[in-house]
Amino acid sequence: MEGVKLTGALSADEQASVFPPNERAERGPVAVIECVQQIPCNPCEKACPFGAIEVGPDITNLPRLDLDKCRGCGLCLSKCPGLAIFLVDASKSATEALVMFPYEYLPLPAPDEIVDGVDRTGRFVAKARVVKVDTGAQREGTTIVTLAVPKQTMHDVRSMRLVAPGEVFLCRCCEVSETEVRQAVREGAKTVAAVKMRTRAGMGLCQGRTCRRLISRVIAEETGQSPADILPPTSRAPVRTLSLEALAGGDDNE
Amino acid sequence: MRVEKHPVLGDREVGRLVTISVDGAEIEAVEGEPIAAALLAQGMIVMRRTPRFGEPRGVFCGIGRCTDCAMTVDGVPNVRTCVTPVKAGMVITSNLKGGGE
Repeated sequence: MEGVKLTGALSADEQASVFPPNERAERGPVAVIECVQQIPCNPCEKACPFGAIEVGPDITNLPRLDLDKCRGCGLCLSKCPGLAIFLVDASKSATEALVMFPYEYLPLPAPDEIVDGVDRTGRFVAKARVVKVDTGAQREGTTIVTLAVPKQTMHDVRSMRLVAPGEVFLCRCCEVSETEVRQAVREGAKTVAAVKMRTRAGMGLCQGRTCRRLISRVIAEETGQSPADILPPTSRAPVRTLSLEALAGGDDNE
Repeated sequence: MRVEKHPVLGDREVGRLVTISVDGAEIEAVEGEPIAAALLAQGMIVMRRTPRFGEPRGVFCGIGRCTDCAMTVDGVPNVRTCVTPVKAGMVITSNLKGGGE
């Protein structure tokens, strides 16, 4: 099970299809457009003041980046609604590379802070130094963070993690933290259903829509399995919250 | 929050203004817009408090999935206000104390 359609993160093949050659990153900053699904979307094309990004008349085309026209200004990063554009720059040092990415969470770090650089799925890759935090008005609410990372990880680090697992809710409805879920798995709850029975995660109003995949991932990580091998929780009708009145035929609106 | 100019849907249609009651306060809303949109337009961002820690919640996903914006509408609990259209005279209450959901 891999690829952005199934996991939300680019597979190795998909990554290879969008990475600029390393020589280009060694020359200076360059955009990495991690857009591999033919969705009808083209704000990146207009965002580039140098005409380096082309989608063309067919709006479902994948964006093409002209590596020579791209000056690495980063204006496209905050214009991509999917937050799929990054900037890498390997020209500044022999050991470190700069990675710029859009970041729409709080809190924000301070320059020179050391943070956990994480990959496209949120897994830890390497310690990284915060170089710049740009919350400029032209970013329209999307902050652009620049991290200095070990050069060999410049195509892996795509975000950062500032919040401790104990402060992250996997299940928003029942307010069950990542730490609590990990603890439950370590104590023997090896299925999503078992975690639910132990922690209530997935018992809330949203019926586990948000947390079930996250819980599957934690179980997979803790037990060394692939997320695809973790059985999904039992789905029970109705899949949308529905009043008993509607079920009984008493409500004309449903 | 109301999107006045949408790049795909165009300009916002001018709807009929109606009054709804939110935790006892009468507010103006546009008939047919999501209840959550009417509340956000008034600066009301807290729609409930969580059962376990009593923390504030409001619109999170905005597409009827996460249920963070659920309120009691005309006596019906757990109504997702982001996908429920405003009707004139609606009486809406929130659970701002947390617990008991």
